[in-house]
Amino acid sequence: MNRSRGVFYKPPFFAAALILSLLSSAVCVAAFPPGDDEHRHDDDHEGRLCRHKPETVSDPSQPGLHKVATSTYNLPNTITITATEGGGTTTDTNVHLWAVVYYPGISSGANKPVAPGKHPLVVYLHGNHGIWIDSGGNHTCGPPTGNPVPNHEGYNYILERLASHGFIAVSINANDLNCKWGRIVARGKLILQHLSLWKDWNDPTKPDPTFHGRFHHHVDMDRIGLAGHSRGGEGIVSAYLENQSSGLGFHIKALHSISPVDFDGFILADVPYYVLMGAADGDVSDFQGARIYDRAAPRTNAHKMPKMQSYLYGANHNWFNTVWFQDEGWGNNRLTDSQQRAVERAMGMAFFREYLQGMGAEHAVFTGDAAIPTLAPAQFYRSYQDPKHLTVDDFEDAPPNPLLNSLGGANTNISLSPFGEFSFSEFGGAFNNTFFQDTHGLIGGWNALGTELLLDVPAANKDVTAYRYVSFRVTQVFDSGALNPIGQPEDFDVGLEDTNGYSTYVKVSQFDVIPFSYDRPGFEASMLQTIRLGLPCFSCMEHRGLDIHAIARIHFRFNRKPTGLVGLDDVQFSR
Amino acid sequence: MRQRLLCISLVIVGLNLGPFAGAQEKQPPKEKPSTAYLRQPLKEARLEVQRVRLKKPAEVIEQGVKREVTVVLEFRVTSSQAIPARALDPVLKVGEVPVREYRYEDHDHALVFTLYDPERAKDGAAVYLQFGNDASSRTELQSFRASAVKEN
Repeated sequence: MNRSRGVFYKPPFFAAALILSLLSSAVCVAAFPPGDDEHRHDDDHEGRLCRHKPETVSDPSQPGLHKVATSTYNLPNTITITATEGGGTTTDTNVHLWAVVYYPGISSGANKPVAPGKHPLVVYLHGNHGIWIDSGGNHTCGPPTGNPVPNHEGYNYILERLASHGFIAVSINANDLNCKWGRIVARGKLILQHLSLWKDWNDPTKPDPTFHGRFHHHVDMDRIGLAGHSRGGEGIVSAYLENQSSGLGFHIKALHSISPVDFDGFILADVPYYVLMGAADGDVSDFQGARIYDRAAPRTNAHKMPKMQSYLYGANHNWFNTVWFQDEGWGNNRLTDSQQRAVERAMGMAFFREYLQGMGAEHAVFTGDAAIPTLAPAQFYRSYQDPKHLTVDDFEDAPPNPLLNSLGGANTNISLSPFGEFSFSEFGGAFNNTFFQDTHGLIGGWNALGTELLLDVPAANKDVTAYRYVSFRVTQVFDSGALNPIGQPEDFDVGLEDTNGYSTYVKVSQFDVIPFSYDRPGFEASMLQTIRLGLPCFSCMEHRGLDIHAIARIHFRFNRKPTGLVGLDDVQFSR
Repeated sequence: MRQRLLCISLVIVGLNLGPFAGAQEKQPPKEKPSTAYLRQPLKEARLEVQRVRLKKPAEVIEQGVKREVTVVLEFRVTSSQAIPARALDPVLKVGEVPVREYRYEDHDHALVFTLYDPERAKDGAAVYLQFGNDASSRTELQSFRASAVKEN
């Protein structure tokens, strides 16, 4: 028996659907080859599939319009940094205030006047590494040779491009904090010291023996971005939080970590955050940046910040810094140093352009709605959470209860085994030893078609018209090929069911890829990534439509592969 | 024939703002980067322990409590290889006691860890060095023997 026609038959609703689809950044195509017909429902709820193809966009890091000028500073007076961290207090004396600066100039070259206008400030900070170059060219912790490692110059490749796009881009040297335990909080304090310098250098009322007024009124101190690599990647988080807690008043609007450590367990709650990690990292081999991402935008404050993550297959730890020339990488199908830096340059640029310059189009490279073909062969898998979202289930129940979701609705397991909520952490409680995150999620496995997970959406939350996507994080669980065949992508259908009992499904692989674990023999990782399925694709392509004013249930139907084992997290409706 | 409906979202454009296409990273030619083998035990590692009376008392603040220390144990780990400076800190475990404060010496062929509470090192305790949670870097060392502690 045919059900009554859905709301999208009605012209007003059809128009609404079309508008919604135009607003969406998804591309959905109801057309699919006859061969896909076998994937329809076997009842009269005809399933429909969508296709999604990201827009291709130019590399955001192509040189901009500004001429690039450079400078350096290394102030004659050193400072002392005292920091409390990890239950102890450290004191570092004779810390230099040393940095390289790239900025938009009226002409190219060293120490040129600044181009007219105010320019956002981006500050980079490196991580732990040798600080002296010995006679053999090795980077060592000592003894001093008089030839310091210019660790801070390893990011010139992106500073130069940032400057060409109108940023004042600074990279700080932190050699005086290297070759020592921790120094994450100390790094944060060092950044804040440099911001104080820049505040003064922007202020004509302050004496300026360093630049003699070159930057007066040219530094937009209301638009500051911080980026850090390795320990610097956590140092910027510390700087941000100390700026808040101490009321220092710096307007830090964006944070970008590159392969950061996570020594101190900081939680970010209200600033756009982007982390880039290499899957072949042979130093921070447990991907600690994923933990910072997971903790950011916590439940209690989840709607104040976007967060995004790129997990770059084949990239190591060191090569994001050109000075760190040694290859510590671990895994197969490696990227070259230039290839992995091209990703940082493009994505770092996109991030700061979006959040400091308001270039909204850059957003799409983080959500998956746009791809940058020139970055090939780099493959990176993303996580993204929009501040505007409704969490249906984050699987953080205490005690674990996989049959109850975060909205209070029921979850129904149809034949998944194993099935349960687990820690996705390396510190115990995980399903197996391939997890390196700081979240809990759901593990579901199957060895026959027909398994399904249903998440009930309570009536109070049934109208999802404020959102554009069904979003969730998913990973293939590495299980040595037991349920997930080695090297194969995963696939399944996701469906929405409305209160009329009408349901529509889409096939995930038509939107995105759920890849097999990066090939790092003996230490494979199960790393969550975000899949976003456009709501228009569930609703707009049918003669009979789905009523997104009245969603009753989300379906995960594992019918595309005969066996599988996945981890799920953060099932949301999202902008 | 089933009607096929095409829904197309907004087009994302405008990222190509620069006048130059296909910019490449400018780098001087260089030799193939060398390889660093971080994820393995230190080669030919040895441990020596000595009790050190500090010339000037050290002020130690732990868990917010300040105290002065005049005698410490220094655990000197030496290796035939240069010990890398990694993102992950080396930690010396003496039994269940993690010793975190360290300094490099001898052109990076030695790491000297300082234990400010010498009494926490128990005779016979197993000792190993590891970088962070990277178990593959774990270097087993001789057990701690109180009788073998050198006096300085």
